[in-house]
Amino acid sequence: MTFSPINLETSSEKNHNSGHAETKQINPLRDTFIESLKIQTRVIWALFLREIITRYGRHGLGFLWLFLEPMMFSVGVTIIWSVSGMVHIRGNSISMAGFALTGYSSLVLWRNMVNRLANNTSYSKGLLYHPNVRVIDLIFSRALLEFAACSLSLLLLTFVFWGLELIELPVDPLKVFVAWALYAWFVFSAGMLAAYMGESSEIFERVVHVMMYLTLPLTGVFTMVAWMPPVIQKILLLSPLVNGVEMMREGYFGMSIHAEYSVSYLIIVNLFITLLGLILIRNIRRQLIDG
Amino acid sequence: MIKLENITKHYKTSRGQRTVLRNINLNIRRGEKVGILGRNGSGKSTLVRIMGGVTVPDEGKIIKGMSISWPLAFESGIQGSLTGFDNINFICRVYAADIDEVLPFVNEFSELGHYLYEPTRSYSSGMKARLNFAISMAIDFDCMLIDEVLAVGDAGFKDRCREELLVKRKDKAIVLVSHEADMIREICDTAYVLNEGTLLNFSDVNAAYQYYSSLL
Repeated sequence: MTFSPINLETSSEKNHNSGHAETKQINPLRDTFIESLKIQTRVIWALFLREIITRYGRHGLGFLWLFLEPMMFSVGVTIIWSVSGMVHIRGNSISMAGFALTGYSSLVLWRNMVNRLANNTSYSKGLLYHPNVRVIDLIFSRALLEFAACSLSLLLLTFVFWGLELIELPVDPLKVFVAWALYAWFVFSAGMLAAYMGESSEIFERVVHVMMYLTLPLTGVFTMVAWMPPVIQKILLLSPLVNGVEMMREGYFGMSIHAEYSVSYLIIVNLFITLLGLILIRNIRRQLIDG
Repeated sequence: MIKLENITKHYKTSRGQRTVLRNINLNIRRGEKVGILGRNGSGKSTLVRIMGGVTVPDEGKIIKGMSISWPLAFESGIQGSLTGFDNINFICRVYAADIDEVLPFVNEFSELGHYLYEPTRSYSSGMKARLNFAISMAIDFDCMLIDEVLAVGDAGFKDRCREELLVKRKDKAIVLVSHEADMIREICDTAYVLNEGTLLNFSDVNAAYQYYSSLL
């Protein structure tokens, strides 16, 4: 057997090369970075596949649940909203189906990702025995699966609803894409905080579902900002979720609707929370292994 | 060569900080078989985890000049919800090893048969040890970190391990930690005793064993 596993990290010196490094010329900084990147990609892919197998089984069409699950939510909610009149749309610019699709797909991503990441790490503890598997990889791979599932569901439903003539295809697909990416970035960074909290306190796992429920008014799912009184508009626009959903709806329905959002605000908040998340997550490994 | 320099490790407990390892120095050469004897709770597993890069010391550093396996303990490195086969797959992906080469070896060495396709949470501790051991052997690390697990294997499995570690792969370094001396006496050429966070070096395994017995 010819492969040689190389651990690039030593405990206190990051740049030390192990194993068979003496046989080839290396540019330490660049090669270390590229090698680390390769390892990280490999690890995240392995974790991603593991996650699919654990959750959906490796036989039959189990993996279809990946996107069927969020799709069922969105379809169910579209039907309920359409029939019950629970949600009131002002003007005729958006169909109920389009409003529910854009809103609920976003909500499912928010709720699923944060809930799953909050309970993520401790049960994967055994995998941290492989030094190349890091806590951020566990979190990222799981988030990636959640993101892939919700994105697939949104994409498929967009075409299905279009086929059923419930909605038009998005007016500005690029804007939808950017909005969805920025929105998912925020959800992921909040998920990192949830992962940290879930690991640090036992109470958090119990209250996270309630907390997610209480964020509902701040998700922008049930209303457009423009339909609200000015005071409430100000509050809503502080929520990155609202900014993301508004932007995405503008991408779907164009200027016929009045969307309020700020891309720069969303990016700044995302950067800040991502940084905070990364700092907090650095300590989880220690907590998990050392107890 | 693996070099541990002044490794110190504390744990937080409800009664304040406890020092588990105090200024540990240890060198492991290529092919060397090192045994570390210690009672339960003496810090053996912590030391092995630090060597394997699973956790970091509070002070000191490790210099790694060869590839090191993950610490082979009972639950380590495999996941209960996955089948043995999926665990193999996962580990191969993480270490960029070729599943087509690893699988036949694991199959033969672990003798798990059709259990390979059952979730590992249904395995006995002996079966888990066999799987864990076989995979890491197939991936071919320069140094194997073994935390007690050999003790649970049956005679046949121990024989296969001996054959593999002492005959076929003589150049492989081994760090074997255990609370019992039999396996260490049989496999290792250097022995240490870990007691109250301090590592004591002995010229030969019998001397280490005698000292260790006096502690019990």
